[in-house]
Amino acid sequence: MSSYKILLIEDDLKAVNLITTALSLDGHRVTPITDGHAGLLQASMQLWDLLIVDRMLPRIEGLALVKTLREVSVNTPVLFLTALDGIEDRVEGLRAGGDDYLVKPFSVVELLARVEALVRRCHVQKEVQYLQVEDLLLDRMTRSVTRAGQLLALTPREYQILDYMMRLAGQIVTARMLLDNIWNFSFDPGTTVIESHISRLRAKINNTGGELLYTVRGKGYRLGARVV
Amino acid sequence: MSSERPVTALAGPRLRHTSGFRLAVSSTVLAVVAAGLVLYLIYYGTVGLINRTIEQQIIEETGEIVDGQSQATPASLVANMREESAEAPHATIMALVEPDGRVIAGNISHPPLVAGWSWYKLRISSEDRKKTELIRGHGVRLADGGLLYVGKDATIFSILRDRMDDVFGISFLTLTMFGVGGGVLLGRGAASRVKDINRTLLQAMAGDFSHRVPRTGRDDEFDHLAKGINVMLERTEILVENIKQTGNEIAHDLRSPMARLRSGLELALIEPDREQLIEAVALSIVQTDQILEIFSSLLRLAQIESGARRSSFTRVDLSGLLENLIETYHLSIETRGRTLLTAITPDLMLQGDSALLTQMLANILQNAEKFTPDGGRISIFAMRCEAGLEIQMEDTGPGIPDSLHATALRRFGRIIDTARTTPGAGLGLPLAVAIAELHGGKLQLEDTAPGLRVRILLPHT
Repeated sequence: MSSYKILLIEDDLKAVNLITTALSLDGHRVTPITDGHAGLLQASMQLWDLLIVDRMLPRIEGLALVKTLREVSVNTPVLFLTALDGIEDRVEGLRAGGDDYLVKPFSVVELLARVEALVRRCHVQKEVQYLQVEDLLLDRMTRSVTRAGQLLALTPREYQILDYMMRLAGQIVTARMLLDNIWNFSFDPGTTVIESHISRLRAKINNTGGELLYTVRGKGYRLGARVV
Repeated sequence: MSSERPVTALAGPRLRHTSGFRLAVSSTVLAVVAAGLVLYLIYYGTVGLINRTIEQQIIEETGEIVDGQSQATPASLVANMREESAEAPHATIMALVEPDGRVIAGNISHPPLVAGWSWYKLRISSEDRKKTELIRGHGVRLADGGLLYVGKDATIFSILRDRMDDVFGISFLTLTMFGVGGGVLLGRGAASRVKDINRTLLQAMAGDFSHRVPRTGRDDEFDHLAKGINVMLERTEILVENIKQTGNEIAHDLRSPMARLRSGLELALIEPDREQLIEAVALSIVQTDQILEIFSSLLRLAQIESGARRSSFTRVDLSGLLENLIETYHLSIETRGRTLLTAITPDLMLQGDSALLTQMLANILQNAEKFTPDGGRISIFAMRCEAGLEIQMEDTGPGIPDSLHATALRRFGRIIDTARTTPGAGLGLPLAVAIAELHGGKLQLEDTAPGLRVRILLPHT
């Protein structure tokens, strides 16, 4: 697991403590800042792998902070944190230049998976034509997927899931991440929904080779071997 | 009404402060002024007419005595006076006065010694009684400097004035009596109605919303006020009851998972085996998530019910939204021999919030999936209807009897039989109802025995 340099801009000390501990245990280096103004300066003056920004901050509000950063071309990925529950908040955050959005209280698993996904997604070029995990190959031009040269018959939804998971190969993808990014559901549609789609996709993938799509108990799903 | 009674905001008003009393008193004052004015006009109209008649007669008689002679001698005037007096004895008062003030002829001894019009009081004493007559008289200055005085009895004026005084006095008394009496009655009536209202309001302030303001059925302004207050009390009673019930239900619904969570953690604390400890903590986290889910549903429900979301309505493709949901759920529904039947009319469009509409339909579909037994069937239909768009979702589960439909649509209104065996906070249907209502639509339950049909009607836009 790689180690990232993360700037955490959050004024709630309990949350700072929890997030710093969780990310440090995962090997990341976290610099916490509790005030929007200082956060903006830090974010624009140093290079970071990721910014974690709370929506409600003293002096400069989280949304305004990220908007300002984007205006001066600081394109470090941003994960918004918020206590406000609602769909429009998420949309607002993404529109302001945030890359992902996490509603408090969140689980540590969710936080770690999102951090990993955000930093990795930045490294994977969005315009590439091919994505490959072991012998699984996805061609974005023809929207086709093959395993060991054999074409897989996928539904558009399965193709979407696979594209997303291949970009985050080797990392944990939580059910919430799939709901946010594939379905765009802000509510919990029931536990079996994601599971049923993953099961069928797994069956199609595993049909032409060994185990490639894993269920990580209590956490989520992973495509390919665990990245170290 | 005793004046010592402390005046509090909700005690009935004092009688003299009631609008009824004040209205009665002020109309009485107006009536008295009007009556006075009318009597005054009648009096002066009558008196003026009589006065003019008398003055006319005096002028005529004076003319006859003087008889056109500009340089009349006293002797000829006396003769004429005698003549006039003979025609109508006592009717006319006459006196001829020398320049030195001596009365040389006539039937009074002390006439007013002024030229022109004058009033004069004549005392007449006969054997049996004394009386005073009011005389209207006119003096004419003669060429020799003497004075001819001619007068007429005008006692009618004083009689009329006295009568008028009586009439005015009686009218004043009667009007005042009726006015004040009516005012007291009206004021008492109003005060007692206000007291009734205040009593009910005081009870409501004390937290008892079961009382209503009594109505007389006369459909007067107080009845209208009472009606308004009663409607408000009824609404408040329902709201307070809802809050109480919701509070109880939240407490009740959260207590069991909290208790489970607590005992789970307590057991984990004394668990020597690390593997099992981790498992216990993981389970606790799942339980905590369920509790958090309840809170987030409650927050969402409050947000929807506030109607604030309406401002972000856009054009929504309901057919596409349903197809997306069917695609999402068909895998979990089509297990254990269950089937999914769908008939969606394409291009059903409406003005709305697509995220909320998705959640509404997902909640219902999730319920249907949860309660449909092995080998059962779920059907989804969407079509145009007269009022707009209609969506039907049917399952072949145990259904809900008609008598429990209202409960099922209420917050936490889980039906007891199923609540014990299936997870969920019982907030899915109330959320769906709130979302349908936010879109100006409605949600109905129908028992299809066995099974449940949920019908959603949304207005067409």
